[in-house]
Amino acid sequence: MGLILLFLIPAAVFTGMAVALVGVIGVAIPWVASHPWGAWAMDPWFQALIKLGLLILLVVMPIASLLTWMERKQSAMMQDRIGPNRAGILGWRGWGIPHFIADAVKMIMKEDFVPAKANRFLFTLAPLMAIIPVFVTFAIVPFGSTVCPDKILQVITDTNQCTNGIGLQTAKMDVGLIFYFAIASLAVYGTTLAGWASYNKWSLLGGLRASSQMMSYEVTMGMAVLGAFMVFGTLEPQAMVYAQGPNPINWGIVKQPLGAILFFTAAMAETKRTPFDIPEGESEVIGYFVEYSGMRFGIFFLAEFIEVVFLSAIMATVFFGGWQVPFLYSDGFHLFGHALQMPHIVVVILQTTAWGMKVIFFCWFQLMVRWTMPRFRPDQLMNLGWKRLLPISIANILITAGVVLAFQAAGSR
Amino acid sequence: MDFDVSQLSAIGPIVALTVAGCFLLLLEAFAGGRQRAYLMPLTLAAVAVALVLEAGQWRDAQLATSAFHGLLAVDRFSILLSSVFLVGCGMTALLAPAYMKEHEFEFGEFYALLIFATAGMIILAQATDFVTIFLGIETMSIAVYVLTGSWRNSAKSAEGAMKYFMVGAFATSVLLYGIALIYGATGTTALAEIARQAPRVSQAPLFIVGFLLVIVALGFKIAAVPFHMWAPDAYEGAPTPVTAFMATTVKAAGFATLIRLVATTFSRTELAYGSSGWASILSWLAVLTMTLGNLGALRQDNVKRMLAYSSIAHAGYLLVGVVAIAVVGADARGPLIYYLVAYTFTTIGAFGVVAWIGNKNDERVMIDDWAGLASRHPAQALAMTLFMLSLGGFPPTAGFFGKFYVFRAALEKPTLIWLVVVAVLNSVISVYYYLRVVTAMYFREPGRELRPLRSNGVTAALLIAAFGVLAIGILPSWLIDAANAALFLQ
Amino acid sequence: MLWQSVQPMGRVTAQLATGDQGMQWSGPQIWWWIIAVFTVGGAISTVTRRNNIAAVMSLVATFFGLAAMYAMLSAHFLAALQVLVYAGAIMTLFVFVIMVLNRDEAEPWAWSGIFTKIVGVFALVYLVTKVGYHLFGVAAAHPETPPAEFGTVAQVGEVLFTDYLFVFEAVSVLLLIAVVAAVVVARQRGGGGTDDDDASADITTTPAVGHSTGHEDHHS
Repeated sequence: MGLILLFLIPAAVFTGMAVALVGVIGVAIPWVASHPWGAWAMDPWFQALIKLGLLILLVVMPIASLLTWMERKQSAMMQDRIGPNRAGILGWRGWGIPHFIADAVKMIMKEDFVPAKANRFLFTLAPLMAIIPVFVTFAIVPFGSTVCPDKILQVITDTNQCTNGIGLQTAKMDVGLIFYFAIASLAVYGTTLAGWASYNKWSLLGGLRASSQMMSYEVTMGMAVLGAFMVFGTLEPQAMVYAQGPNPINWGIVKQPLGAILFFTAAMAETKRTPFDIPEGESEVIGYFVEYSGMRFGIFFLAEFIEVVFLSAIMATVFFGGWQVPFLYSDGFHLFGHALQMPHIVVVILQTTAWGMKVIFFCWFQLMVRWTMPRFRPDQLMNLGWKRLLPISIANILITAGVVLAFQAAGSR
Repeated sequence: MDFDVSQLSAIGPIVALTVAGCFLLLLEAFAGGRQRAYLMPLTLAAVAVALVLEAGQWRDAQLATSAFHGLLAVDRFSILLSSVFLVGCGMTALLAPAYMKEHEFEFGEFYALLIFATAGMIILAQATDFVTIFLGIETMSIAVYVLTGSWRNSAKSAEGAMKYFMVGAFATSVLLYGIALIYGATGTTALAEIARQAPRVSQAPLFIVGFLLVIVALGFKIAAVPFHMWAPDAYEGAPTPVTAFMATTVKAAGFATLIRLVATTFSRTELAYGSSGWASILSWLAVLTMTLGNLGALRQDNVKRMLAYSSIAHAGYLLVGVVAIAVVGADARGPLIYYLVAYTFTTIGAFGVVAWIGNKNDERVMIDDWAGLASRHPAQALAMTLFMLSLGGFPPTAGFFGKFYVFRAALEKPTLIWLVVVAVLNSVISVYYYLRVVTAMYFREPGRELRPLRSNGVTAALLIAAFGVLAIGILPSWLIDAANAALFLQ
Repeated sequence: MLWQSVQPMGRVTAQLATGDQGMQWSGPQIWWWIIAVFTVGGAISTVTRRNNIAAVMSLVATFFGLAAMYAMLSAHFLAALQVLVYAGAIMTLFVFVIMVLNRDEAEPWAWSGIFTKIVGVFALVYLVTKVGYHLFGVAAAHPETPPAEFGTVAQVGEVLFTDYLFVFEAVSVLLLIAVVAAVVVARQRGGGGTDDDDASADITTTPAVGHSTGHEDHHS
């Protein structure tokens, strides 16, 4: 019961915010643009800015903060404790939810301390290097299909097609997930520089562990989605979602089960959370951010949770149909020959809701994993990465390539 | 599909060598030291297979053909030079095992790296696109850097490898910059297309700067003065079989590219002459290389280092032949090929004797160590004498005809007489230090006891080298005829 | 993000300004100069920093500038790969190695070899002015808009697996050689060549593994 509640509250917040974002993009902006003084609102750069900015501010940041509460509460439940329940707003304690606000206030108010022999510039740069790439990667995440401002209340059919829709994705780039890998690989600098710039042995060890771990698992992570690239014939997330379609039998998890598991494992290692929290290892080295305090530490902390959200979003997009609702087509539900037509706005809201639910599910699932598994030893981690996951992912590529080729040959015959 | 399986025959030797290299790696990795005795014969087998494939290509390559969308050529020029590389690789492999065992740095990857380096050279000989040229140079160089530094318990080896690597990496970046500028001027990396565009771009600053940078980069690879500073240290520090390999095949591969570039792509007169023409630049490089190489060799008491400087000097003689291409056209390649063959046999033989004479912790490379060698090891002393005479250019050895053909090609037009005069004077100087070794071996009293290597491989390598030097020296016509018939892909 | 923001500006080739043409400052030109200054500045900073990490971070900045240049030339895939491979993978390994070696932060400046240094500086200045003098004469190319599919993953893939198939395969051999070479160089072997059992363990141990893990591997 408690665990379900833990899933529902963030899901409600997240989905609500996402739908609100869709409202801004699909209704508010076209409304502004419809006036003679608001033509600038249709400028693609302005729209991209709005999409990414609001996606991060409205949707991702609140949920990342809420995840801190969710994690504490969930761990408490799994360990048969009560968990945070002290903080309150005017007496409202709400299962400890106000704690995330209290945490933020605490971090901002704390002394901002830089060790005497630390490299000041890099020490300051490191948290930014950790969090900015994560923000930027959200540019490729599709959080809905296309919203048609002119036909919001109509049913979109083959004869009444959406012509000037606004894509619910910040940047539609041909390189797609490669962009994600490229930017995400920069996050290593955040941890490594933090470890080096702190002038502390334990930070340095933590930074070394972090960089070796992240570099090792990046390889597997890239290899794991190659199969999906081949199956869907594209690298672009929105195109992948379209390629999967509303029928779950075509989703990535069915076509690339091994790839999904490998990707999820490797990407979890990238987030550096238990069981892959060797860089932090509270009982061993405390980690690359041992010298960080206040909001600088808070940024690392937040970046970790945003990575959790992002990983969930990518899992949902590549392997679980993204914003697709099972059997929901652009004009409504189709199942076993029956059809239920729906206006465009309902379809879009349902789709964004589905995206939100999927994302929160994977966040929740990651928290479950985090509080279930013990930490690996460094050598186990390396063995797992290089000797198990990597060969399996390469085998997955070869098998997928063979199957795709066989299908193509069969198709062309 | 526009991939044609028949194209594979164009890269048959490369594929054979690559597969063999991978197999040797796996054998070393999984069977460890138990199989080490088989590595050298397997290397020889791979070389033999590749040579057979080259021979097959020779039969078919009546007309030069292009393969892989113009990236590679199969012509008799490339086949002849590839065979030189393969022979060099095989002889190095023969020298290596006993040497490595004696000096205690045996490792199985040696043979794999040797084979990969040879594959890179063959790519280089066949390359007709700057992309493949770059790739061939890198494949060859990276393997050779490591071979140079493979003598783990020698500080000199590490020093030589470090210098070689640094300078080599720098040269590669210069080459890439040049290629980039040429690409900027012409919009292509294919040599044939660049040659076609040469009339249009030959005065364009982008092109001229790019072309000069490419020449400079190749100057580093062939160790022409003033781009030679790495060579003495790298040659002296490297394990002697590797030095033999570097001094012959690596240099020959650099010349293969240089010859192909100047004889086809940059063959236009306005590119050859003038203050920034390659013929003017290379003739000055040739003078500097011969002179400084010889002066450096004169001062050496260390036979290995002396041979290193001597190999620099020989690059100078070869450059005279390259300059001759500007005067007499691509026909001058025949003498160059002949020279490269002669030089390869001779130099590997000479370094083979150097490898043979040393023992653990004591390389015995100083000239005093060689005193009286003839009385104790007459066969090896005779072989060394032969190689020294060939390097010095005495008839009837191969080295004589090499110089003879190259100088004769340069003399066909009067413009290069001055260069040939300088080259002949340099040859005369070089006789001093070559004969110094011979006199030490025959006319001085033996010094310390020698404990040279006892190895059939070394003996075989020396026999092959001596046979080669004599065979193409006494009967030079078949080789020079074949070399003269070795057409380029135009 | 950078290449996204310059995406619609088309292709700019060698827009070196020639004074006599009357400067028309178009959007791409301004971008080009900003990126060029950033790239070259990063490169200069790389070779002048005495602090290793600062030098490496400058090089990362240079790679970003290069990626932006590629993006301006409509080679978006190449730009992404530039960031992924160079900034994201290779340079992190640089940082890693510097941290493992943990040498002194700054190398002291020495007077030794001052003569060579001066000669080197003069040679460099001469070379740069000479080459720059020639290259500034290059006429400005006309920016042309490449076809829409230029630089896409599909197109790069097609070229790579048809025209440049041989190169693609040969590069894999080259990388294999580099890996083997690195292992051979890195292998610590005192004196004799008898500890053969190490060989297989060494090949499978990547340089990225800390040495405690390498030790564990040996026993597993």
